[in-house]
Amino acid sequence: MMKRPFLYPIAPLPLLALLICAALAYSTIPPLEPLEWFAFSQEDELEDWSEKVLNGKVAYWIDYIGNNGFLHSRSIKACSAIYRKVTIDIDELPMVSWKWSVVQFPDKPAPEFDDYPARLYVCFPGISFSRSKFLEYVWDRNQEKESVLTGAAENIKIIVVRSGDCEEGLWCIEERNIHDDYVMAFGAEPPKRVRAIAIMSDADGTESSAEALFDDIKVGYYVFSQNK
Amino acid sequence: MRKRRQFIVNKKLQFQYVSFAIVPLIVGAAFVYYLIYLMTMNQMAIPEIILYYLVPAMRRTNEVLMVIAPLALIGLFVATVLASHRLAGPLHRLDRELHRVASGDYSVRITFRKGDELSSLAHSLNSVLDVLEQKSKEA
Repeated sequence: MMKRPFLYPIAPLPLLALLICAALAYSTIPPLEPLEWFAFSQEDELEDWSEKVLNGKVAYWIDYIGNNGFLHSRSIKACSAIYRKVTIDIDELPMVSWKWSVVQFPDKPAPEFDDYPARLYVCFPGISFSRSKFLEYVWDRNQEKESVLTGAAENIKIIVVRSGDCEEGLWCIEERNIHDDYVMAFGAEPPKRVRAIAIMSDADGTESSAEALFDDIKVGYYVFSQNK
Repeated sequence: MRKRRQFIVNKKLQFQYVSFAIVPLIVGAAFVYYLIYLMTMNQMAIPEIILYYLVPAMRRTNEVLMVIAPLALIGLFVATVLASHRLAGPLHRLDRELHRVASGDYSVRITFRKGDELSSLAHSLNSVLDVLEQKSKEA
């Protein structure tokens, strides 16, 4: 009778260890797909968003060019936003990207007017208003690109991500690292989680009109070329 | 029965009574106030809406509370001291009269003011004192 090798019972163990290590390594890789992806392709997609009115209602609806759906907003002397709760750990998944286009800018006689045709809010609610933080990505014609402004309160920072007309065609594509933008705007580490995003077009301050398009808002993903 | 002259007869007991009544009320009211603020803030969500609607409303509410809250607290304190006296007064009186009984005076009868707590206890003790006095006379 043939004698079994001494190591026979533990021979599968290295293979098992290798499999466990591979599984652990795979579990730590950030997902490439965003946690939240708003394509605005379905008519009923806005049902998951809630409207918040500041001064008159802005019209938000799903519009189409061919088969491509997108969010269309039109403000006539009005200011209201649509808002969606999310939970994104920005230490792990700090990226946000979206497509947008401005059809009509509000008539701003001076840069001081805080009407923007297109805004994307990233909200970090706290235990009180003063402890809450808000990043607003805006498109403006008067402010310089990448300028950081303080909003109506110190805890609201406005980053001008696009200035003037879109040079790429109908859609301009933005991609931002929320973590880095927060640090740049507030000079401090951000709270761990983004709790909501919102979209707004407003033209109430200038009593004019504004119109914008939004599409493919992706929140909560990781880009390997980024440090964060 | 004489009219009440002193409303604090047992500081420790009455202070506890007042504390049990007032502290949970203040904590509860503060919690509800904060909860309403937080829920409203979360409901409004957009910073400009919070800033232009909620923050001024909260400031106004706080101004009103700065006037009303101290008055309400004083009223509540007085009310709870009076209420606590209805318990502490009879206990104080009971303690005093039982000391007399302990020294051999069985003629003592315990009487409380109208509306005081523990009236049924006084009635039972007086029955006991009736028996004790009867037995001491027979002895």
